[in-house]
This record gives sequence, C-alpha cells and structure tokens, in this order.
Amino acid sequence: MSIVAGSSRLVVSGIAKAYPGLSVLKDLDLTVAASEVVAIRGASGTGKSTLLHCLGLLDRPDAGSIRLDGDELTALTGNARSAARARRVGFVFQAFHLLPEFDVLENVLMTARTAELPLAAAEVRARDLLGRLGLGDRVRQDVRTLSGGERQRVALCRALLPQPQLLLADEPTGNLDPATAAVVLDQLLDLARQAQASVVIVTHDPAIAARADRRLTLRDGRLHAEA
Amino acid sequence: MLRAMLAWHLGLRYLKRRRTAWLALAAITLTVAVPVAVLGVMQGFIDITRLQVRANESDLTIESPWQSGPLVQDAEDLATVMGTTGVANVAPFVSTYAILSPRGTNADLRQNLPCLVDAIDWSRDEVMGRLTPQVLHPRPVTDLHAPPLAPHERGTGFLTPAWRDHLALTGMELVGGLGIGPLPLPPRLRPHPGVVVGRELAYSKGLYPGLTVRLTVPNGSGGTTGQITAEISDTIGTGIYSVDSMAGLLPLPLGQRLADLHARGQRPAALSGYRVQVTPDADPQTVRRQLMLNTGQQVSTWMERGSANLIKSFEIQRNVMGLVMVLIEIIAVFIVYAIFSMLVADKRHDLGVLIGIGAKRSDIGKVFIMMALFLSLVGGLLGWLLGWGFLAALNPFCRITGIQLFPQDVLYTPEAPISWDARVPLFFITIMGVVGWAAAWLPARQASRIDPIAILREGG
Repeated sequence: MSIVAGSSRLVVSGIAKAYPGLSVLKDLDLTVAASEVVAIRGASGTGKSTLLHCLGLLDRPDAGSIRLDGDELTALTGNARSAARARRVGFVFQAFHLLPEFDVLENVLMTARTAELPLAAAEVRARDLLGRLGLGDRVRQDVRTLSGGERQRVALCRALLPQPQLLLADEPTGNLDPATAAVVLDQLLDLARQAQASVVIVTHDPAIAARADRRLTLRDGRLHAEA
Repeated sequence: MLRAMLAWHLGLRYLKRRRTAWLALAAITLTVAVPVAVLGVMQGFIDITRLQVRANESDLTIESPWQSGPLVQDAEDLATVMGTTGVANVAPFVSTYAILSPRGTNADLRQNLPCLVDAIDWSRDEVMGRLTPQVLHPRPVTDLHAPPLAPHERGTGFLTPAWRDHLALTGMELVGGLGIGPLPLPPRLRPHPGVVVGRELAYSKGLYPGLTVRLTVPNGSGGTTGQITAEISDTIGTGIYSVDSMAGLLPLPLGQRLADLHARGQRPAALSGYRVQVTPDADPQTVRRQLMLNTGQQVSTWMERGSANLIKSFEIQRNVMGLVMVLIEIIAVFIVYAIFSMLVADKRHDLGVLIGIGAKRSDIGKVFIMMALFLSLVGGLLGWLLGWGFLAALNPFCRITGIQLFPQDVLYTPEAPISWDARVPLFFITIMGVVGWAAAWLPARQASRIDPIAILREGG
C-alpha cells in the first residue's frame, strides 16, 4: 500500500530490511511532504526503529530507495553518507543521547561541527534556539545537571541547528512526565514547522500521534494509514 | 579544517578529563627524558674524548716507511708539504721509545720506565691547534720547587727554563733572519733542558718537576746507545691514558740528539715526520693522497692512529645504549595502546552518538590519532626539558653533595661532560611520535567502527 501526501520531500519506495530469520520491512513505501508531521505507531518489534534508522541513513535497506528532495540517499557511502546525515537529517532520541563531557552550548554545536558549518554563525543560531526553548541562561551548564525535559530540549536544538530537511524523532517524550512531554512536543512541532522540516515521529503514545498531520501504523513490515 | 577541529575538540576534551591520559603523558615524558639525559652524558664523553684525541693528533701525519729511514730535515721538503693544496700548517717531530730512569742522590737507579718521546717545535704545534693551552693548561705550573700537586690540581705548563730557552732560541732565529738583532731573553734560571712527562706517569711513579732523569734509546748513533740527562720541567695531562702514562715531551733539538737525528758533520738533521693541519674547507683524504704523491712518504689520518679507537668504542657504547632506549620507547606502545583502548571503551556511547549525528568515521578515528600525536609532542617536549634539566643539575648536585659519579683519576675531568646536542631529543621525540601513532592506530580503528545503531538502541 502506498502512503502518499501532496508535494513530496521524502519519498521511500519499496524498501525492505531483513535480519537472519526475520523480515522486518517488506516493500515499504512512504512519502512525506515538506513541513508535514507523520506519526508512526506499531507494536514493539515491528520495525519502527529500523525504519527510522534507514530513513536517517544509519542503516541501509536491503532493497528499495529513499529520496530526499529528489536526491537518492540509499546509494550514498562513506563520508558522503555521513555528510548527508549531518546536514539533511536531524535526530531526537528517547534517551536524549547528549555528550556528558560537554556543556549545553557545546552539545548543540556538535551538529554544526559534524555538518562542518561556520561556527560563529552556528553559535548565534544555537543561542537563539536555546533562548526560544527557555535555556538561554543555561548555555554553559553541565548537561548532567539538567532535568529530563531540559535535556530533550537541548537534544532538539542540536537536531535542528543545521536546519535539516527531515527531523526523525524516536519516542521523543518517552522518558518525560506527561506535563513536560506535552511542552516538549509543542516546542518540537513549533520549531520544526518554523524550520519547514518534515517530521517523522515514532511513538507508542496516542496523544502524540494525535498531534501529527498523518498517523500510520507499521504492521507486517508495511505502513498502514490509521483511521 | 573543520574536520580536524572536530577531532581536536573531542580529543583535547577527553585528554583533559581523563587521569589515564595524564598517565600516558607521564610515561611518554619519562621515556624521552631518560635517553636524553643518558645520551647527553655519553655524547659528552665522546665529545671531550674527541677533543682530547684531536689535541694530541694532527689531521694528518707524514712519516717515512719503516725500512726507509728518517726524513731529512730539509727546507725544500717543508716547502713541498706547505705548498700542497689544503695544507694549513706543518710541524716537524721526532718520535721514539726511550727508557726513563731517575738520576741524582736518593734515586732508585733500578727503575726503568718506558717513555714515548715526542720531540716537538712547540710554537709550530700550538699554531696548528695541537696541545693548545685551552686543552692542556687548566692550571699551569710555573714554580719548579712546588710540591707535587693533588690529582685534581695537576696541570701542565711550559713556562719552565728549558722551554723558555727553546722558545727564545726559536725567536732568535726568526729575528736573526729578519736582520733586526737579538731580542732580550728572559732570564735562564736553570741550565738544563727539560722534559715534560705525562701526568699519569709522574703520578704513578712519583716523578715531579725539578727531578733529574735520564732518557736512553737503545739504538743510538752507530749502534751505540743514545742518551740525555734532563730535568723534569713539568707534567702534561692530555686526558688520553696511553699518552699520559708514557709521554715525554722534549724540545725538538734535544729529541733529535737523543734519537741520533741531529746534524753531525756532513750529515743533515733528520725527523720522524711532520704533523699536518688541513684547511677547514679541504677534504683530508684528498690532501692525504696529494701529500703521498708529493712526498713519497706514508701519510695517515688521525682516525687511523691508535687513540681514535677510544672514540669508536665510546660511539659503539652510545649506539648500543641508544638502541636500548629506542626499544624502551617502543615498549611505551603498549602503555599508550592500553590507555587508548580503555578510552575507546569508556567513550563508546559518545562516539556512537557522534557517528549517529553525522560525524565521519574517519574523524572519530582521527580523535585518537591526534590525541596520541599531541601526547607524544607535548610529552616529548616535556621529556626534553626534564632530560636537559637533569643534565644541568647533575654537576651542581655532585659538587654540593660531594658525590663523585665520574672519578677524575680515570676520566681526567672533574665533572661529567655534557652534550647539549638538540638532535638527540629531536630524534627521540620523532621516535615517540611514530610510536604514539602506532599505539593509537588500533584503538582509532576500533573507534571508527563503532555501530551507532547499537549505541542508540541501548539508551543513554
């Protein structure tokens, strides 16, 4: 079944991924428009994270193609693949995955370094993003001393700093209390819309899925539109 | 540039926050400091030995072959040698073995000491840089009646009556040749020409300035014994044991008389040979070949003469020690490797996240290579500083504490000679850089192969 939206930014065609003895993704199609928010749900072990890793160029599908703004990404290898991941795709993880050796600002700027962006301009933008998320006065704080919600905001700033075309979020509020989760989700969606980034959120949470423009379910290796 | 900056940014931060990194720095510092200090002293000994040997040996020595008999002391021959391209100075000499025995009241007449007589024209030798006061006269002795000196005070000096006579005569000849007339001579305090004996010989046999000795050469004129009686005018310490334990320096005319090489009747005076100083820009081997052609005599370089072996043996010891030090540095590979492997294991999560957010795998590997090179460079420079600091403190420490690390009776130097040759630390820093790179290569490879998916699935 093909899930298609209007003007397509991300076009996934017939991707498949299998592990020994287990076929996870089967001829999966997905199209996401610019600024569109798509939520993907599914039972544990159905391949949501695998799909996200394929979209984020962390994993390579066994078959099919992934196009971002018309560019074929599956064929990229080595440094070109890393560069595309750094500049065109942003990640927000459930476990935040901040680097404890570095302070708030340095964590955010890490994507500027990996994407090889001019640091001075990137720092201005990083401070602006942090300010908009209420962390303007915490830029030099040790990330280990931040609350869960604050850490996820820092991770969100890090993901959006290079102005990616695609933002991938894997259970972004899974480690947060409901009130904080709602705030963080609002901020994620606001910033993504302002940046005109397409968003793919993998979640179990119906409340988060409800905030998306489209809701899909991953079942038997394929995506199905929810009612 | 930015890629390099990412590697530096991460590497320096990891170094700053890890105690084990400081341990690696300390290990590198010490493995550079130790060879710098040890080889600084060893090279110092080589340098001073070379200086001492070169103070005894001229660049080239012309001698007649064994079966040809002595060289005639001839102005034309001297002009031929001086006229050879690359020759800067020439000094004639007579060299022969003699038996030295004490004379005078209370002397033990049964003593027969071997003495290697070197009869020289002092002024010519000094001009050509041989037996210079800078090397041989740390504390000249001018009082012939002074008691024997303690070992560390023993030096030499030629301002004794016999040598003064000799120098005055040389001056007279020169002035006479110019037609100016005789110069006023310094007063002659003693009538006897003197012999300057090696200080090791003097020390071991109780000889001292003022003592009268007899020098005997078995093969004198016409098969008879050549013999002179002379006063010990001073002692000489060259630092070369083989010289100082046997040497007896004589004025050239006296040596010629002893060896039966002086002018007699129609027979001209003769020499054992000439010592030759080569100009700095000339190739000694080329000059040597030319001199052999021009004179038909045997010509040897200073390296071919006996004392050069002393330098070679020191150099072999230095090279062996240097090799041991290089091997010790190579062992540092394992220390650096262990520390970096631990660091990679410890930072596995961070490195996986960085790859996940787009860091190139090569950059992640570079983090460790750059850390290793940084540690090697900084540790190497600190080691250089520490090694030279040790060398600078060595002699003052020995003086203050009275510890004699290098007994001067053996080495003829009251302090450890030290070489400040920067090539030694630079060599070991370079080796350390290679070692550091090699040690970091495998951990760097491990780091660049971390699977980000596994890390991201694991959670924070």
